Amino acid sequence: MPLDLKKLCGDFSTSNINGYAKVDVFNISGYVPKECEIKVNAIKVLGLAFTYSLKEKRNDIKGFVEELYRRYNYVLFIPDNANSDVKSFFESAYEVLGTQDPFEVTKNLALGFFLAWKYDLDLTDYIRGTRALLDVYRLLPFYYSYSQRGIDPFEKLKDNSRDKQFIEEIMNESRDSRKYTFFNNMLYPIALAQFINMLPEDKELKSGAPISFQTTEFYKKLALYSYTLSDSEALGFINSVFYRLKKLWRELKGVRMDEVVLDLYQNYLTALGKHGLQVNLPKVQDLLVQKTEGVKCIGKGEVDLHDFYTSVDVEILKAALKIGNVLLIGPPGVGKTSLALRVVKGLTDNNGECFSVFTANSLWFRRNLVGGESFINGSVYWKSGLLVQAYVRASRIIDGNYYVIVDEINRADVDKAFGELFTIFSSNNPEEWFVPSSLVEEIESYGDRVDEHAREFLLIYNDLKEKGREDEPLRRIRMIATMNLVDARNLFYVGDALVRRFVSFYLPYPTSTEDLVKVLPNFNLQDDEREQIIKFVGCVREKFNQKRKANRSTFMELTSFNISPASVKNSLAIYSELSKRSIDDFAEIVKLTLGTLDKEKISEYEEIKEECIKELKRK
Amino acid sequence: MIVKKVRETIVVFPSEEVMKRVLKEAGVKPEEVADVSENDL
Repeated sequence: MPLDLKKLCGDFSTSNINGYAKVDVFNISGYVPKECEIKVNAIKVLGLAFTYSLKEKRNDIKGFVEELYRRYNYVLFIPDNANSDVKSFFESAYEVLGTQDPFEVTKNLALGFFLAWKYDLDLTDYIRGTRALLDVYRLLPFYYSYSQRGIDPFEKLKDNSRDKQFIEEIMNESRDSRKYTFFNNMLYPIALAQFINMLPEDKELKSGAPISFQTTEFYKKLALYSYTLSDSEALGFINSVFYRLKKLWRELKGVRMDEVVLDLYQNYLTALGKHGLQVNLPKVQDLLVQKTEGVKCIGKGEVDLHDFYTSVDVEILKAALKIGNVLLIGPPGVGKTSLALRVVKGLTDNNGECFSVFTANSLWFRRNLVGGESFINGSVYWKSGLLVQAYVRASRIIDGNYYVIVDEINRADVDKAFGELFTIFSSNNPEEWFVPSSLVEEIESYGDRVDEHAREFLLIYNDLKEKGREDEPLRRIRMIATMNLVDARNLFYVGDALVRRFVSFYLPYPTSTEDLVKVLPNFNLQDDEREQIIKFVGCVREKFNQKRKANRSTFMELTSFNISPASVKNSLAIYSELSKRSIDDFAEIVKLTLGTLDKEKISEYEEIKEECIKELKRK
Repeated sequence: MIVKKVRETIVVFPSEEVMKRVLKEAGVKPEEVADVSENDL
């Protein structure tokens, strides 16, 4: 015969539990007493959480369990004493669920094993099932809080005195809200995880594993569940739940708050307002920062060079990037930026969430690189630079690194703009990079007057700091800077600062026609045209090289001019479009694409060009 | 700083330690590393 739940609720509310168990466990069912029917209806889709006092022995335990499972999808059961009827309850649950497997039962029936040990229950079966669940849910704070302390929760169960000490320790963490601290730290996450049954048991979760769809359900249900709390409990509890919620977001990097959940959350906030509850919860727009799923920035590492010439051995470049930051130095047009992009795309499977590209300019200052004071609508606020932005993006990465390409670094006043950045990247070992606390304090000092990136940065940083992992996103950042060798004086002026922090690669002009082998097949030309172009380019480059060697006196001569691969490629693109073509036309087009306005260099090319054309025609 | 020609690429390493790590990571053999000569520049 179906039970009168209203009556049952009344029974629950009179639970008599001793010690902290009374305080903590009782609060789980704190919403039950007066408006039980209404509240219970509100969580019908979820189940019923309750404490089960067996002081008054029930005779109808099986009917009670049947009724629970008839009405609710999941049942959270927190045994509060060792009355033998606790066993009866589980036995009934096994029967109702048609299984004798404790693990099968615990999928829908959370166990308060951490309390039950006190009453000499035989926990063997419970532990077996729950341990498996903990393996699945090990990212949840409950397990995390133990593991962080290097404690096996099951070992704790064997030693009452130690466990008691541990529980007291947790309770002392927050004297103002000890029951909630205890609840959050120990019971709530694992119980709720079981309660909601949000993850498939066959799925092993690694740190940051994307579990978006389950997690969406999780928060959806969490919001509903929270809504069922009584008003009297709500304020402190909801605060602590949402503190936990925010932490969980960080625990589970694959979290994605989809719009449905955000709508639900908004409704939840509205409902709180109707109850006159002043709760300091994050606004919906603040939660949007969490929308990105865990990002994988690991590709096959295959760099597409089929139509691209580079003198650099990309394997060395990739190795250098694994270990730290990289600087590509060379004259304009040798493909520094293209190489950086191609390597990064190869390393990340061309995932746009794994890299960003910036071009430096002479107005760059610390604010552009790290961040700093800015003005908007007459107010001072803190604007994030590329480092803070990169930190936020790197924090979403669960595998691989985040790459920041800074093109033409020489355009900026390197000393002025890059000083603090270089300090942060001062070590050649990324594992030694750290976020200066002064930077965090500086951003925090601006309060709400910070941009979106900075707000997110603080959230992430502070959250990770609790776990001692606040520098991890920074250590995932890799910078690839490019520098034009035409600015060689700049290179030597800041040379020390740069070379101490970067592995630098020199990309010289091709000495002959190496690049044409890669480029020419892409253009529809006659064989004799190809041959003439190869000879012409080879001739011009050779003559430029001879001049360079003749004039060589210092390392600075590296800046000597030649025809760049980009110049040749651009010339071919234009040349191949002409209806009537000759090598003279090609030579003229090359002049237009030299990429310099330096009259001396242009006239030098003119001379060499004439000589080479003559040589070609003589042959 | 250490300047080397590695597999025909001129590379400047901040320190010997970094050089060793990079070359090891890239699987570069000792014979593929040469000092930089005037001609390379």
